[in-house]
Amino acid sequence: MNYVSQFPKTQNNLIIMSETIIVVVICAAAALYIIRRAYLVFSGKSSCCSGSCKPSGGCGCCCKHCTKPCSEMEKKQRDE
Amino acid sequence: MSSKIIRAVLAGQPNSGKSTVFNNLTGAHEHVGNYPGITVEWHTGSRKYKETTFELTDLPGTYSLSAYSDEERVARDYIINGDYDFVIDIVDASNLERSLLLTLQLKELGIPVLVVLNMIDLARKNGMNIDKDALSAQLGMPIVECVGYESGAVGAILDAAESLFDALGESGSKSALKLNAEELTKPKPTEEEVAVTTARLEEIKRMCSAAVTSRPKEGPSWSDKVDAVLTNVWLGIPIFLFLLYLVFQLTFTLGEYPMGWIESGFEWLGDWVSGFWAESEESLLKSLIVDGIIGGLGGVLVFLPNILLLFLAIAFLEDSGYMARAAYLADNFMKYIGLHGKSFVPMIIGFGCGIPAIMATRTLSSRKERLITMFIIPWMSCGARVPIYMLLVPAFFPEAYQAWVMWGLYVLGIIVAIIVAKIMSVFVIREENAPFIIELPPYRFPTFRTVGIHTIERGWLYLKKAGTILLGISIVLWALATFPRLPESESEKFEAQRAPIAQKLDELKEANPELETLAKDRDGVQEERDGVEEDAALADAEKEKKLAELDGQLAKFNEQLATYDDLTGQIEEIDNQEAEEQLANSYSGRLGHLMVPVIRTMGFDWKIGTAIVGALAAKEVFVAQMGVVYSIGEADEESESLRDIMKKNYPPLVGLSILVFCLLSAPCVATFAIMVKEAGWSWAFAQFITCTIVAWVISTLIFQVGTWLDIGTKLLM
Repeated sequence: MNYVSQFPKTQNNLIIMSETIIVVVICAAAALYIIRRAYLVFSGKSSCCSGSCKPSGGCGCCCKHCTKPCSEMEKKQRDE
Repeated sequence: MSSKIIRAVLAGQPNSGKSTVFNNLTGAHEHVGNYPGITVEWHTGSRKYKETTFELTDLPGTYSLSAYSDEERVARDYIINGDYDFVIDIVDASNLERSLLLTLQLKELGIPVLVVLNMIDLARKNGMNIDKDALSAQLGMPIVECVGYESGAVGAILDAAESLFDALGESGSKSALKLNAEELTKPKPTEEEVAVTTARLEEIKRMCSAAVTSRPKEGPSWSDKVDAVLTNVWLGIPIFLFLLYLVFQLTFTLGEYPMGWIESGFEWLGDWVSGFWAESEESLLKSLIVDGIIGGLGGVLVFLPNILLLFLAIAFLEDSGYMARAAYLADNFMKYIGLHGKSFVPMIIGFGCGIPAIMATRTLSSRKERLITMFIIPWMSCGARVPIYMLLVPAFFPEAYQAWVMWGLYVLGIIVAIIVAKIMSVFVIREENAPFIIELPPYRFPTFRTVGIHTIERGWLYLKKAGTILLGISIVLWALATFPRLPESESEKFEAQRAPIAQKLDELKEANPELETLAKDRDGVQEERDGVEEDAALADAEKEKKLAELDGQLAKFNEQLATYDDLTGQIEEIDNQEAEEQLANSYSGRLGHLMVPVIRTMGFDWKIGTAIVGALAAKEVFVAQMGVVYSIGEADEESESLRDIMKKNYPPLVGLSILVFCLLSAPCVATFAIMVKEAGWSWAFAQFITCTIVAWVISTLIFQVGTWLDIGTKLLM
C-alpha cells in the first residue's frame, strides 16, 4: 500500500516532484474553471438554475441563458 | 423520405397543466406544481413521433392575450411574433368556461388552434359531461380530451396535431399570417375592451350551455370541506407552521441514518487514501485528496439524503395544491406589509433556490411588489443553506429541539423579510397595491412521478453542483489554506521541540516492544465500550456490569501506557501547533485574521471568517471550507466527523450565531447576478449590503446577549 516508501531516496524525490506537478495542474485547472464560471454568470450566459437545457440542445432552459447554441427562434427574437 | 417538422406552441391559462403535458410530450423535466405562476419563461423541446418531428414550446400561463405581468407578456409576445405552425391550447376541462377566454381570443386573431381538454378525469369526477364534438363545432377547432400526465395523452395529442397540420397546409399555418395585434399591446384595458371581454364571456357561456351538461352540485365538495379548515383565518397559519415543522422533523429523523452511512463511507475513503502514504510522510497530493477533496467535498455530500427528503416534502405540498392555499393565507398579513399573497409564490420557490424565485417575481404586475419581493427573497432559506443547518444544528442542539431550531430559522427568515418589506413599502417604494386574485386548484393526491422527478432533479442538481463548482472551489480553498508553506526556520523550530521527545519515545518502545500492541488492544477495548454504551437493546443492569468490566480493563491499560501516552501526547501537541501555525500563515489564514475585528463581535474566529467569505460563491462552501481548514489544521491522522470537530471547537452560542448569520447574510454570487439582470446593479448592491448588515447586527446581538446571560457559552465536549 505504502507506495512512496517502497522506492529508494532518488526515486522518492522524483515521486515528490511528480506529485507537486500534479497538484499544481489540478489547482490551476480548478482556478480557471471557477474564473470561467464566474465570467459566464456575470456576462449573463449561464445561470441555468434548474439545469434543464432542452433535449433539442437549444435555448430555453429556465433562465434563457444557456450557453449551448440557440435555436433559430430565439436568435430571431433577439434580433427583433 | 424526409420527415415532417411541425412547430407548435403550448399555451393556456395558469395551472392548466401545460408544463405537465410538455414534460410528457418531450421527456423534459420542467418544474411543475399544483399552483399558478411556476413557468415564467418559454421552454423548447422536441419529440420524434412516427415519421414526424415535433418542435414544441411551453409558454407561461396567461388568462388572456391582454398581458399585465411580465410572464404574461412573454406568452403574448411569443404568440404574436413567434414562428410556429399552430397553438396547442391546453384547457383545464374542470374550469371550462373561464379557460375558453384565451381560446376565443386566439380564434379571433385567426391563429390555428388545437384545443386539448386537460384534466378531463377531474371534470367528469365533478359531474361535468362535455360533448367534445359539439364544442368543437361551436369553436371551429379540433379538440382532444386527455389527462396530461398519462402516457395515452402523447399519442392522442400528437396524432391530432399532425392531422391539423396536414389540414392547414403551408398557407394555413400561423407563420403565414400577419397578425394585427395592436389592441393586445396596450398597457391597461379601456372601457371598450372591457365590453368586448364581457361579450366574449357571454359567447363562451352560450357555447358551454350547448356542449356541457353538469350534475347539480350536492353540497360542498371534499376540497371545499378541507379548505374550510386549512384556509380558516385562525387555524390556517398555525397549520401552515405545523406542516413546516413536520417537514423539518422528517428531514432530520429519516435523514440521519443514510447520512451516517455516507459519513462513514467518506471517513473510510479518507483513511484508505491516506494508507497509500506512510503515516509520517508529508505529501501535497495526499493532503489535496484527503484534506481538500474528501474533507471539503465529502462534508457537503453527506447531506444529500437530507436535501432529498426536504425537497420530497416540499414537492408533495406543492403538488397537493396546498401551496396555493398558503399564498391565499399569506395575503391576510402580506397586505399589511405592502405586498399581497401572490408575492408568496416566489417566496415559496425561494425555499428551493433564490434564482428561480427572483425570476418568478415576473408574475407580479406591480413594479413595487416585484422589487420588494425580489429584495426579500434571500431571507427565504434556500436549499443551499440546508447542509449548514444539517452540520450545525445536530452538533449544538439536543435531538428533541433540532427540528424546532430549524423551524425557528425558517420562521426568523420570514419575519426579517416581512419587517424589511414593511420598511421598504413605507419609506422606499410608495405605490398602490394591485388587487390579489389567486386560483385555488383542487386538492389532489400527488403523483409518484411528479414528486419523484422533482426530488430526483433536486438531488441530481446538488450532486452536479458538488461535482463541478463545489469540487473546483474545494480545491482552490485547499490551495489557499496550504500555501505559502511555513518558512524553514519555523519548521525547524517545531522539529527541534519534537526531536528529543521522539527520541525518548523510540527508546521507550525499544525497551518495551509490547507497548504498541498494548495501545492497539486498548483501542479495541475502547471501541467495545463505545458499542456497549450505545447498545439500546442491552438491559441497564447488564450494561452497567459490562461497562464496569471494560472500564477496569481500560484503567489497567492506561496505567501500563502512562509514559507512552504522555510522550505521544506531547508529539501530537507539537504537530497540532505546527499545523495550526501553517494554516494561520496561509493566504486563507491571513485573510481570516484581517476579518477578525469585524466578526469577533459575533463570536467568530478567523476560520469561520474564511468560510463565510467562501459561502458567497455558494452557500454549501461554508461546510466545505470548515472541512478543509480543520483537516489541514489538525495533524491527527484519525478521521473525525465535522460535527464532532465543530462541537469540540465552538460553544453552542457561536453555533447559533453562525446559523443566523448564514441564514440572513448576502445571497450567493449567482443570485446576485440574476438580481442585477432583473432589477439592476443598484438594487443588487443595496440587497447585498442590507443582507450583510442585517445578518451582522442580529448575529452580534445573539452572541453578545447570550454571553452576557452566560447561555450556551461552554463547549459541549
